[in-house]
Amino acid sequence: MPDKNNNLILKSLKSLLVLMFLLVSFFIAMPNPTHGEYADIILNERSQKAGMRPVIFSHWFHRIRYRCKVCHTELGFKIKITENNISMSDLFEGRFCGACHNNETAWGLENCMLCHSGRMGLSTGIIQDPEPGGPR
Amino acid sequence: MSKLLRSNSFIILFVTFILTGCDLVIMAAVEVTDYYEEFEKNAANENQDLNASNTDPNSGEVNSSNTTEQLLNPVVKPWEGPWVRLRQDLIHDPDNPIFELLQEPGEPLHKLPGAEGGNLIDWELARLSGMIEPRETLDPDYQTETLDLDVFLDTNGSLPVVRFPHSTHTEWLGCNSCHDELFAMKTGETKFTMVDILNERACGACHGKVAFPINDCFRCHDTSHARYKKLIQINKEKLRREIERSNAG
Ligand code: HEC
Ligand code: HEC
Ligand code: HEC
Ligand code: HEC
Ligand code: HEC
Ligand code: HEC
Repeated sequence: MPDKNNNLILKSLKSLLVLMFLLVSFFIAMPNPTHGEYADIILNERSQKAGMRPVIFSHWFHRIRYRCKVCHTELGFKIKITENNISMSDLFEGRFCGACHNNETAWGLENCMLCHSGRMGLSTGIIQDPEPGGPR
Repeated sequence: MSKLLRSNSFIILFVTFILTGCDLVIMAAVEVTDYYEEFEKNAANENQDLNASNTDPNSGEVNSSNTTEQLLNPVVKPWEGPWVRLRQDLIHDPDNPIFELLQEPGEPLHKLPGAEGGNLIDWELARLSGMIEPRETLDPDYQTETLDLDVFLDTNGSLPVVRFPHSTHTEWLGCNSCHDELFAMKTGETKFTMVDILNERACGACHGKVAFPINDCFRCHDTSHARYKKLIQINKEKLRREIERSNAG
């Protein structure tokens, strides 16, 4: 009787062990998918569907040259990702990025690959500190 | 007998924990070595690229063409620093034909005053000291506003009081980025907590995403309670004048 019981416990513990092993290895082996520079923005609402690489916009690069108000007040970029619903035709009409990337203020829209420079498969988002209060 | 059984299962449970611990350590070690190997490989590739364009094993002709090339595209001075390299950042595609034209983050950033977290830059200090001169407008006729008013938040907490400087924020940002979607234009009207901030609301809409991140606690919690009591008087006076000015104008 006790032997049988013991076996049962052993068996359930074994399966528990396997489960734990799987769980732990799943969490640890899960790669950190993105670690670009802080505040980089990936835009891929439309690009990949149309066969282009995702767009990468770097805040660090632009904020050396412009204050936030130039984009987020004067040019009307809403300060929330995806809410602007940027499309390529907007840019050609001189809105959003096209207000500067027009061969006058900055290089023009024909340099497709400078903006469309991301890896395929990235999803829209912003690069943040991995965990607030934690190490980088 | 049941006592023995219990102690047995206890031992087995204990062993399970130890094994899981070992598993954790091993997996972490594998992860680290993998990452390191990839890093080394990329670094080696990078060196090869550099060598390919700099040294010339064959003839003088190629060498001379290399030097004109180098004159046209001067090799940028190397920099040191913790900033991620575009080749290793896992978001830029190195197969992009004009990948090389993109600027490395560390190249301009290593010259600016350092800070903890985020871009590792104290952007406000960089602006104040004139190291960077970000333009205020695109259209020279466009009018922007600034406001020099400190708002004190969390005045009854145990930590130092939070000083929200409108001066810094309105140099960088327009009023519409905060008012009235994130905050009401009245001190104490908007209710939020530190948990909201950590969850990317209120101040966390920018701090932790683009402006300096949350781990720099005492840049926000920077005013002792004693100092706060003095400052609040000056502040009231300022606000009164501000309101009079806007009423007159
Ligand atoms: C050159 C233009 C430009 C400048 C300058 C700029 N931004 Fe942005 N910002 C953008 C764009 C583009 C987006 C993405 C909008 C979208 O996805 O529709 C964005 C998004 C954001 C977001 C939203 C992130 C999210 O997760 O929703 C925040 C916050 C932000 N910017 C803050 C700032 C701050 C603070 C500054 C000044 C230091 C600044 N930005 C300067 C262009 C700019
Ligand atoms: C200044 C940066 C910039 C440049 C230069 C640029 N794009 Fe885009 N492009 C964008 C942004 C931003 C989007 C919207 C991203 C998203 O949400 O997927 C976009 C989206 C697209 C899309 C998706 C469909 C659509 O109509 O919005 C296509 C296709 C595209 N771009 C093609 C091009 C081509 C071709 C060129 C070169 C002639 C080019 N882009 C140059 C920024 C740029
Ligand atoms: C306020 C003007 C402005 C706006 C708006 C703007 N840019 Fe730029 N951008 C610039 C300037 C200026 C440069 C630098 C050009 C140069 O070096 O000649 C630049 C450079 C770039 C670069 C090259 C960075 C590098 O590493 O060399 C990329 C990529 C880029 N912008 C993407 C974008 C995208 C995507 C958007 C829209 C979401 C955008 N920009 C909107 C002004 C702007
Ligand atoms: C972006 C600015 C900012 C940063 C950075 C920040 N806080 Fe706060 N914190 C605030 C504000 C604003 C409040 C007031 C919220 C309210 O009114 O309840 C607050 C409130 C608090 C409170 C509750 C009241 C108290 O004083 O007991 C605690 C605790 C706190 N913060 C801890 C921290 C810690 C720990 C850190 C660093 C990891 C930190 N904060 C970083 C802005 C900040
Ligand atoms: C970065 C965000 C931000 C920006 C930009 C900003 N404010 Fe504020 N403002 C705040 C916060 C936070 C409060 C306090 C709200 C509360 O406690 O509920 C505040 C409060 C105020 C108050 C009320 C002060 C009091 O003591 O009652 C006024 C007036 C005000 N802001 C005007 C402005 C004006 C004018 C601008 C543009 C020049 C501006 N703000 C830009 C965040 C901002
Ligand atoms: C719309 C974006 C935005 C919001 C919302 C915001 N900040 Fe900031 N804050 C900035 C930017 C941009 C800077 C400039 C420094 C930087 O980028 O690191 C800054 C700088 C600061 C500084 C440093 C000032 C200095 O002189 O060094 C403090 C303190 C601060 N913020 C507190 C707050 C508090 C408290 C709140 C919430 C009530 C808040 N911020 C909300 C964008 C924002």
